[in-house]
Amino acid sequence: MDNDGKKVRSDVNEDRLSGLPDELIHQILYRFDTKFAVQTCVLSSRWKLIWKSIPHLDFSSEHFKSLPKFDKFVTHVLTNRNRQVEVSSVKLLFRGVVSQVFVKKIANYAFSHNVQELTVINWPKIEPKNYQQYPPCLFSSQTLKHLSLVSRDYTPISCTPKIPWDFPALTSLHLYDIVLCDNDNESVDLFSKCLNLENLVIEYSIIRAKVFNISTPRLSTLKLSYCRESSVINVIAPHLENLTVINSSINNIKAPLRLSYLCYSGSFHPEWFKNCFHSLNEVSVNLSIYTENKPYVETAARETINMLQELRSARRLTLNMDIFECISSFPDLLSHLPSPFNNLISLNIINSNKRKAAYKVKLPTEARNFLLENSPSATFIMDLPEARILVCFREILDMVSQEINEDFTLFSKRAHIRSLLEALPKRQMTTMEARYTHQLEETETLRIRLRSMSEDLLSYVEQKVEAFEKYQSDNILTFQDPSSSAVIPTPSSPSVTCLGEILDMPSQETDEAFTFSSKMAQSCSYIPRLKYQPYAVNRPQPVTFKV
Amino acid sequence: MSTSSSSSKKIVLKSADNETFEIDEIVALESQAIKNMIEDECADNVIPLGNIDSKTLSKIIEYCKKHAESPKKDDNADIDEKAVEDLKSFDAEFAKVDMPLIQDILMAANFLNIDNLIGLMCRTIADRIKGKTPEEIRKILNINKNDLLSPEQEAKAREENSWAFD
Repeated sequence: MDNDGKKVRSDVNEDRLSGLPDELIHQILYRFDTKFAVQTCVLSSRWKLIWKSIPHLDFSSEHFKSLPKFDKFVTHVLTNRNRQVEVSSVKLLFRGVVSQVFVKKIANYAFSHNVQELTVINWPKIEPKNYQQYPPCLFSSQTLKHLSLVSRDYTPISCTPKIPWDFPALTSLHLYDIVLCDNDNESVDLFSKCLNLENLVIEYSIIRAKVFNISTPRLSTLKLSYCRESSVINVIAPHLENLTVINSSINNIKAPLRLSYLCYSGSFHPEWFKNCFHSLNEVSVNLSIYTENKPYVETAARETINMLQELRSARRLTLNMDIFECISSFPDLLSHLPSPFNNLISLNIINSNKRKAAYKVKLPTEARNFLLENSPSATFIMDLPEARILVCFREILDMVSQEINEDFTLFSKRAHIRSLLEALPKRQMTTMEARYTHQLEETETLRIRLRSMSEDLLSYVEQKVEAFEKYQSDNILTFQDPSSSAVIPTPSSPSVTCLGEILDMPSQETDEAFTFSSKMAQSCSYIPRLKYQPYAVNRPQPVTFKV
Repeated sequence: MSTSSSSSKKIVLKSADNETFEIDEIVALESQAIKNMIEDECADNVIPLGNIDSKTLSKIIEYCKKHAESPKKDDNADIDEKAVEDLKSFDAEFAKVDMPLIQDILMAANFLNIDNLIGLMCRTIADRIKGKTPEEIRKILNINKNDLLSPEQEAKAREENSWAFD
């Protein structure tokens, strides 16, 4: 092809991009993996060498037919890349075990080019019999600030070395689905050399050590989620501010002073809640202590009360229904105890995850006093599924009514066009009508169909809302009167069955009812906020009241 | 939320084609380059921008206005979510322009040092070339025909980097 013939182009279509500094072109390529970046070499002479100086590397075996081909690619990139240019971030994603040679190659290259951010994600393709070790060279860098090791195994098999990791600059570390250490007889202190570590997240991992210490001076956020097989876990973090422990166990914690956010979820009463919380701001505890068809036992209630007493400094407290039910079952235990909470701004009782059985909710004076007596201005919110469903329905109702209103606009526009046409002299009117009639007819047909559908929907949703409001007023009204101790129907009572009927669902389970309603809500892009204080503001709130 | 009030300090920007734009100082501060000029007190009443035409400049001002008025992060977690969504949809709408204008905005944003806008334009360009063949990308980016590789050169580049074209 001869380029000379097509030299002349208008100014408007001038190639401005080629005039950009390399950094901007790198930024454009930031979203692409390195294979694509290399391929841009054929675009033009300006682009020919661009890839060699891109500071981020993104290797993915997904774009190659085989691992050897991928390995070859990695080697070529590393040898042909401009060695003078530092590497800011590296992402490596591959199918295969972590002990592969290219993992080592990439780590060495990245660390010798002062990388700051490293992400390694792998799917072991074959099920190896033994743990696969990450190469030890992956755990030593003077410059690395962010590290993510993610494995996507059914059971973790990618194992890290047990010597302390040498990352003096590291501030955030995310470990997902991996095996930490692999020695049940030793005490390890993996992060003791990570002196700047602020943010540590360990999820779905196996911790195998006799004693596992998380001891690092700057740690401010720690999340342990679904970590298993650990014998003893100690946390020593004087600067800890946010702590999340989900279905994992901690044995000891020394982090008393600054901890302000605490989230605990599990089946056991956490024994480490002892004398360690002095300035809690937000606390969320989700204890799965309900056993199907069994009443709560007194020891569980005692432990729960002890646990609540440890949380006395909390300002915003969220508890699941199990906790509330459990202590409510033993009013005698509570009656002589002062309320531990002097600073509560809000108390939020939420549903328990995964629980199928309906709640037996009572609001005995003892339980209420125990939680709220010393915090007279606290807001109390019971987040029952029924309330959420109703809110969703009301939102839908609003939307549908709006739709119908819009229909009126459409109708009046059409009428206006019609009247304008009629105001025209006859000849113009005829020509215009010829053009418009069909469109007007189409619009009208569509409008009428839409309208009737909307109206159908409206009356359906109105019925639902009405039924729900009735259900609520029959059953949850008691919450509006805090001094009352009337009982919400038990699972077998007809009223709860009625909830299922309202929802046209075979199941009476309120959990499912909620899933249903949130799906509906999502389809209208009205997603209820499920986190903190749902619907506390500006909403009809039958179960919220000031104490 | 900050609003533009008539009493706030004004800055005048002058485009390459001599059009002037009077804007609130707070809007101008979205540009790190202008911010530096103001801080160093080397900004006169009128800041001439000899390499930005009025069409590009008015787009950039539209962007800066919106971003200056939007509540900043960390003020309040509740406001955040909504404001972030709002800004996102504004950005998405803003980027729906033709490629020459995108490139002009990117050049100008780079000159004025407006980080968010540089990022937005780079992402937009990336989205448009994603999954496209080299020939399509050349067209989309209006790559200067004088700059194209000859067929022999292109074949050579492919050959040299054949490990990336598997």
